[in-house]
Amino acid sequence: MNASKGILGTGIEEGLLLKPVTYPWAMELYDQAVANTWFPNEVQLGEDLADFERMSEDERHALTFLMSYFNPNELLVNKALAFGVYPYVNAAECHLYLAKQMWEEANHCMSFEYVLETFPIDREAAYASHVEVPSMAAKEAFEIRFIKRMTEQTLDITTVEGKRDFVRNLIAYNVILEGIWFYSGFMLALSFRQRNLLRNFGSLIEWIVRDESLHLKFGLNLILTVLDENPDVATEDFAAEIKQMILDAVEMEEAYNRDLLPNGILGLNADYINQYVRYLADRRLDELGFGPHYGVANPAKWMATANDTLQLVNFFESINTSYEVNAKQ
Amino acid sequence: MSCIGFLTPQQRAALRASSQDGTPLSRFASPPATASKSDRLRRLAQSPVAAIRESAALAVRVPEDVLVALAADPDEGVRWCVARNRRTPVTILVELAGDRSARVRAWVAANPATPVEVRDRLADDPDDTVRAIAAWAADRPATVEAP
Repeated sequence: MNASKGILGTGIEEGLLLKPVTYPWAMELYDQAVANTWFPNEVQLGEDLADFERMSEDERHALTFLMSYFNPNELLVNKALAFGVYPYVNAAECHLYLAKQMWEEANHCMSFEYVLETFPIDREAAYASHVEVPSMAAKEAFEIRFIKRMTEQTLDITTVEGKRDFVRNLIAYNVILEGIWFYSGFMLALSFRQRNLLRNFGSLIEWIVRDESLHLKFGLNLILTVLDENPDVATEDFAAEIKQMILDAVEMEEAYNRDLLPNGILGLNADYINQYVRYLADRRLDELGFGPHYGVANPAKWMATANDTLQLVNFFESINTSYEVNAKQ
Repeated sequence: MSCIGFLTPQQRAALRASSQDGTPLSRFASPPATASKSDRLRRLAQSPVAAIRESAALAVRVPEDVLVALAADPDEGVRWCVARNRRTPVTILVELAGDRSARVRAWVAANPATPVEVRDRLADDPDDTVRAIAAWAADRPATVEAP
């Protein structure tokens, strides 16, 4: 590959040679993704049925509710990657990572299938448990708009606006959906740990979160590389637009959490989760070079009493922070 | 979110019907825990990249000798991955309860496999976070074993 062409490009003749590696961060992420490889049947989810039988109605409802946080239709996510990201990237090492990421999304699909086939959860009820709520409909409309564009429209990435659309798509799908919105669900999932329930399910969630943290890292590096290589794209107006997308997404998530969790669920209330959402948004903004906007402390950093979130925080920080430390060395 | 709003009425009907379909898709075997898989994890554990050694420390089928070696890793991130792993033998958790890093000790306190007496000692740890996690772990409901 001719490195001077940059990371964006199309055409079957491009990105066919792995050496020399132009973007070592992509190769490092591929190596780590391969090292992290796991399979859902490595946990015996059936062992968690003993817990399910003794769970309260609230806890069972939370599990059903939780299944709709994540996109069980991982094939839709795979389509977004296949049609909306992969065709526009020019580097072989990036294609290697994207191929692994698409396999991981398939693995997540089969993991959710494993959960739905093991626990007595109504599939359609799980998927649709709160989609009629207006704040949820707003979130879905936002994501569907970008995912449809990624899968149904062809970008002209030789133009400035085409490159900006590519970055907008990544912000919506990778930074907002995978980098902020998903974590409300992960927080709820890991709260089962507090009750020492569903340990095997918890292992699946941990592994999925670990994969997602690398997906996020790849997407952020891809965005930053595109902006770095294309200074005509990274204008002040475009930067302001991207930042506003993220702030709008935080508002949507906060409204959603207030609607769905007026009385809390499994000990987590909307205010607590929303502060964590703002903390995460600040991290994403910082990683994109904007600096924090909300300036909130991580509410889960210091655990006072019976609360699982310190483990949550340490888990995320041990994934994100340790990798960031390594990347800076 | 599920993006179920994306589905057509026909697809939703098919989704509804699939709930009653008893044929499981997920009953496939994971690759067996072969000797070559263990050897691969041993090689990952020797990587110069700490993030790769962390993956080895967290692996489901990591051999005990790998955990013993990684419990002495110079990188605290690797050691706390050993402390986090629920399959880490008790002898290693006891050793890591005395680690120089408070984060490693915190993960030992949080690990459900850590013996009560070790967790109780961590309740007197000089670090605030370790003490808080030990207190949280002490209140955690007992495990119910599957019949």
